[in-house]
Amino acid sequence: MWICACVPDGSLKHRHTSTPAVRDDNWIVDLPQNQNIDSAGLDAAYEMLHSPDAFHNALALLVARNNRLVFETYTRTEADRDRLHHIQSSTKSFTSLVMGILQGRGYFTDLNATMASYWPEPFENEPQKSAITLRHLLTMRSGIDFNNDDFSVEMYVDGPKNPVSYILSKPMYAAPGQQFYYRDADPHLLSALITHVTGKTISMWASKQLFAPLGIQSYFWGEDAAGNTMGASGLFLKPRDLLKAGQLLLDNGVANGRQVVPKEWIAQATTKQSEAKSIGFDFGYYYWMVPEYGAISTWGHGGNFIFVAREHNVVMLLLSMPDTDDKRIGSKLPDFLPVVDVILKACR
Amino acid sequence: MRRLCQIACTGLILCIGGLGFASESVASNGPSHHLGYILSADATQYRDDSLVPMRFSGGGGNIGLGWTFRRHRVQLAVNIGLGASYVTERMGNPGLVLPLWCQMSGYRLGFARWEHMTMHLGMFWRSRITQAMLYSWDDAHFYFLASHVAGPSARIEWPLPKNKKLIGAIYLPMLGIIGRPPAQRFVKQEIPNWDFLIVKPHENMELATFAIYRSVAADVGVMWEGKRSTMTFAYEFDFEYSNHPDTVYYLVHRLVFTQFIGIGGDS
Repeated sequence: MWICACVPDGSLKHRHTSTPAVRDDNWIVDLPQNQNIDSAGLDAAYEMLHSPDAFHNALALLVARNNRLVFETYTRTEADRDRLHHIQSSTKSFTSLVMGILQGRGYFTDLNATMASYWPEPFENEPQKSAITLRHLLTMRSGIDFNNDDFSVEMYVDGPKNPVSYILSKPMYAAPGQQFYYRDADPHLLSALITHVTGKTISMWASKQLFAPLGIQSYFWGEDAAGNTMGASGLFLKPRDLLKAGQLLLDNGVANGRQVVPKEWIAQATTKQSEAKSIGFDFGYYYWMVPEYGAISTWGHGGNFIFVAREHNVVMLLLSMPDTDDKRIGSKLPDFLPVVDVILKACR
Repeated sequence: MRRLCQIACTGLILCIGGLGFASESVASNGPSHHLGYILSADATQYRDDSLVPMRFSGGGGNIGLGWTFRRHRVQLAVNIGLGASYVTERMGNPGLVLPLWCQMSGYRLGFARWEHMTMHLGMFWRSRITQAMLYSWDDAHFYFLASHVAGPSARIEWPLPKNKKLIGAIYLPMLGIIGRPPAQRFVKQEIPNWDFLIVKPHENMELATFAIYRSVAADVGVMWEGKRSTMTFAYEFDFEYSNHPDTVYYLVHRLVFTQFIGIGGDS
């Protein structure tokens, strides 16, 4: 470097092992063939991940079948295994799980109830929005016009002291319930409502009722200026812990022999509740439907997916850098499906 | 769109930076105070493994102001500067590198003399905040290297015909503090956040030991001496490295033009 006076260029990806590490974290590690997965398929997925033309921002790919971790690889550094990673909008799916837990405890049993019926004060000056129901919030149909780029800047940087009133002061693009429009405001309103009604934030609920039963000890979940957990993004977890959340869905809400999330909620959340034609996938309660694989997926910006293929009893995680632009190959759910395809075809 | 505008505004405000070490060479006689300006064209390379282990390289420029004071065998100089470089990595994704800095120095003039060459020896202190907006890889956070360092510096002068001098200098930071982004950034969105210009780079300061920080700067050029003004044209090499918490390199090859005008009485 000193001779040519150049800063050395580095490699984005390194060919680390794909054999899962044995750790004391509730994951049982196994060989793919023991779980009836053809290793050649996983090798093909590995090569796709390491393609020079795609998945530049990928950090990790993990695969579990039959509740056994069979594939685990990190493209940058194996230290990523023990780091907390921001999963962007995959956070919404955890908000959904907490909502399910709360419903199982007797909260929010009627999803057709309006948010205003629980919390009238913020709606006093917003009568048009008082018709927004919990179901609208869960299915991105509140009608509030607050796009996600503005949401990130205004909620994280500007930090309004009364986030709920701030969100509700935004204009409407449609009457409540009329139209799907994917945005962060809806899950965030739901998060604030949970705090208001239960006296605990989503993060507090998740810590004891979701993460603890899954054996997740380390996480970070951001808050707004009023202390509400960010309902749409801001959750950081370790890769193997993220995969546990996928396994929880596959097991219909059961983890370590305990019903953590009601089975009925999992069923509702992971079936079509909204048609999202503009995006190309139908939407449950903060989950995306991928019917060609009998699967559902979370979808976080940059390429962060927890993919649950029920028919194959497979859970996958693609973890990527969270703040890259969406033009990269590998950052959208359709980009990930070819990898999914080779893995599922390898399942006997 | 609004976000892009905000990012652009942030960039414009940050577009301040750069300087010219060579501006510290001033006329050997004439007025005691000199004020001047500094212009430079930069070939910049930046790599921050906190984000991606890729070299961003490109070009840009700087604009700065300087003041020097000289009396008897002592010279003091202060330069401030601001700049911007447009950089891309090997895949063509763009970014901006935005240095903002200030340097103060003091020299004992004529510390050593040989037949024609004179060496001035001194100390310098440099504060620099280099912000990198590598927005195609991270549109939510800045990456930065803030350094406040001091060390010895030496300048040599070799007279040339027609009121010209060949000049050269080297700067070796030995002591200081540096600021880098934390290894784990939990705030989802930090752009645009004005405190990131100055405040954030100083939240995570570390002692700049040789183990985690290395830097060197040097220049060589020609100076024209007039009655009340001097002009300098020089090449500068400017390098910073840190491995805290992840590796960062900042390397600039710089062509600098300075003009200083004498004010006040003769030294």
